[in-house]
Amino acid sequence: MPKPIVTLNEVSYRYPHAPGGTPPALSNVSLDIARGEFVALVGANGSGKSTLARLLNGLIRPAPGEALVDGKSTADPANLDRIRETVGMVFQNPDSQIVATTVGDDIAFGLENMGIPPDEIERRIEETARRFGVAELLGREPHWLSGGQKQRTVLAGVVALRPRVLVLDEPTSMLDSRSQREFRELIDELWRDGATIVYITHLMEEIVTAPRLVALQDGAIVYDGAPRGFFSQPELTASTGLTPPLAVRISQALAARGHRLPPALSLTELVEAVCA
Amino acid sequence: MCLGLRLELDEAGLVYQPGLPFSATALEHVFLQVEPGERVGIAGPVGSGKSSLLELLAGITPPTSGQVLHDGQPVGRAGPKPGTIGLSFQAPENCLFENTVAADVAFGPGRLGLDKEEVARRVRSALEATGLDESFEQRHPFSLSGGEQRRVGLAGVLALEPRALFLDEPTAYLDPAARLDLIDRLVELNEESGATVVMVGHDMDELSRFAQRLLILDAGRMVADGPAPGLLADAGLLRDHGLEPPGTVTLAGLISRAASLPVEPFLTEEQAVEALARIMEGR
Repeated sequence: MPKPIVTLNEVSYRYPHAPGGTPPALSNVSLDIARGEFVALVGANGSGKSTLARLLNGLIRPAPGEALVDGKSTADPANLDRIRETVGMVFQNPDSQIVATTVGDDIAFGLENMGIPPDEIERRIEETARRFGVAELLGREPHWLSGGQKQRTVLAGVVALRPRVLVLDEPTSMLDSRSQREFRELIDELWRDGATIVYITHLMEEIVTAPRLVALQDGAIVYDGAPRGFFSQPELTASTGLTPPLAVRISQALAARGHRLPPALSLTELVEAVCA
Repeated sequence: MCLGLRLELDEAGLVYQPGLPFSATALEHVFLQVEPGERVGIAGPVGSGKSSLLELLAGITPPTSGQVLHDGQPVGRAGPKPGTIGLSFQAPENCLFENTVAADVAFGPGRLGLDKEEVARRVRSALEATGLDESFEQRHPFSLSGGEQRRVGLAGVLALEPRALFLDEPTAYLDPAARLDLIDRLVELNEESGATVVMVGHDMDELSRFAQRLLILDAGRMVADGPAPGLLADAGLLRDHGLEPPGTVTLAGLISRAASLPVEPFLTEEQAVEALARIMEGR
């Protein structure tokens, strides 16, 4: 087992303003993520996904338990700069992450704060903007962009910093289906280039191709393994508030009608099973 | 029973910051009539003008050319008549401000001159429609997760029980079970109240479950307007405009090629199961 780049050790977390009686957002969660892994993190609204994401770069600190990034604890403020260089975050709502008055300045913001030389900044802006399809928008005011264009701008700004771990909290929720697929391909490309990816999503088609799936329910991990194993347990899938992908739903409906066919995760697998 | 609002765009166009260096055309000359009680979906790629069209129709953003009419009356710069429309922006959770969920949802209906019992009824029924049980009522909105906050934001709009409801990607950030549930509630609400409902969506499966009529936008122009089932089954048209057809339509294409036999096109999941079962039985 390669050395984990992110470790959560029996962590729990309760939000400070939560009224009495509210269950903790996370309770006793342990998770190791190895360098270069791709982990899809799923669960119903309120299951603790975003809380877990915020623990990963020390935005919030677990109590009790510990969160380690590259062996460094998020509890020690002296580690936080380093940890946040290692872990890049793309939040749910792009508006909460856009700070500058033009797209170009927004991508430059993080780079300037890291003390990157100006000509290198220029180069990285150009490169990431082209890669994420916002090159034509560099001079535009983020305020006037569509939701999806904003999401790309935010991703470009984070990736320009070259973090080794990328935590994405429902990054495609405002994209149309083609842009969703393109976006996911970009993330896969970053993954193949060696980045560790933690990908929070509600989109089943994005989940089935992930090598590892971690499902949360009421603040606890209820599944950790390959997606196929998760979707072969319809009760578990339903109890986490997720609906299986179309191919799984149809093959289950066919099985219920007495047709014997191997379980299919994707439409291609389903067609093969039906025509076999 | 409320009567749905009739919506009309008469050559309406929208240019952001006209005459300035950052000027951008969001929509070009749109003619459109939406009948009272219609359920209309708006689809299109990123930046195609979906949200702009929704805001024009709702009458909250005045067009830079042409005009917007509600029930045949031009909507002035003051906006639509109070109480007639409800609009949920892309991120309704940004509009939360009260100290409890119940107070936040009650804010809108509380200003329509209704009695207390009626406001309380609407709050309960709106929270129910968005899948939030009574335990949420006294919680602070900011103690909720992102998805739960979104539901509260939506509930606040539903509680207005408007004659026309405008929703901008209401299901984004909701978990899959909650998405389907919300779509079904919107259909139910439309059928029961007769309110006109216009929804921007990017998920073709959701649009297929929701819309009777579909509008497709591309680069600020309306490129298709017709019955939703027909347009959603037209994989070529959708792809031409940067959209993915619903999963069932993709499946129909794959299966007719692989089985090398003509398969009757299907759109709903039930039809897909039927068609596949017939193929397996025929083997």
